[in-house]
Amino acid sequence: MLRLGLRVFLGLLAALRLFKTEWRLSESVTPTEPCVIVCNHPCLLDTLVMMVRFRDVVCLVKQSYYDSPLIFGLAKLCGYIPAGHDGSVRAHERMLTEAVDRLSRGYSILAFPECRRSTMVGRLPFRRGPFEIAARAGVPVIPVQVACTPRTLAREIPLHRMPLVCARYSMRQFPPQDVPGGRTGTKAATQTIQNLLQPVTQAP
Amino acid sequence: MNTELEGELQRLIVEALMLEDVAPDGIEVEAPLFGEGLGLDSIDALELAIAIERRFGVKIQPSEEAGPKIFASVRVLAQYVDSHRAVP
Repeated sequence: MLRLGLRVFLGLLAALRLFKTEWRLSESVTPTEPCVIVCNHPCLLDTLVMMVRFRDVVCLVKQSYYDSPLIFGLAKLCGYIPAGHDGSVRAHERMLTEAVDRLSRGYSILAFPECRRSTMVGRLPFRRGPFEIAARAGVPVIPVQVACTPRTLAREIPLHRMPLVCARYSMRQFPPQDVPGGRTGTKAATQTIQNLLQPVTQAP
Repeated sequence: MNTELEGELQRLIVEALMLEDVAPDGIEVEAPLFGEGLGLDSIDALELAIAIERRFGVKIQPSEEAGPKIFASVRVLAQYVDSHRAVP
């Protein structure tokens, strides 16, 4: 039901020539096995697009979004997992436990390791959490590089400043990658996949 | 100031996090553990909290704001552990 609603919303944006994906919105992908999907995060609509694109995924969301009444508690209703960025050690423990549990039940996890939208220039460091989840659950990480041209609803652009041309949204999915356990292994995987997904700097 | 406890925590940090290129004595007791200091991250904080709970019986159950402060440095962490562990 939620995915249908999101698909209708994105279809409306496409009809208004504001935002268009390079694939048909009805074409969704089901990962063949539970995995952690990690993406860069250029646009405010990334989560919606990914939720339409991939079936049976649970998203890691910022605690502030999870608790926000502005999105009507949708994150809670959808079973999303708060990503524990409130500085609490126990919040991180809960996040890891819940995510591993969902993976064991056959769902995949969608995560944006930058934990906020990508900057227009330079890049934010990837956090290790999604890779730690993959290592603990023994599932692969699928890196997905997304691009929005021209940059739309980016961090530095006010919401009302939509581009005059239709924003085109594309994605490139890389093969699954195993994440070795332990601090060294997860840190190395974090760095490797960040280098893989480093967004190309685009003019605003 | 409990330098013995600080030393024990320095060793615990290296052991629990398996820091291959850091010696316990090389961790400055007043240097930040996160970011520009030792470079630990939130997952390290979780591992360290579990190790402290096992070693000292101190369950770090901070309020939402207290977490980063407790892990500010080895000295701050030692003060927290010293004030919360059970007296034998």
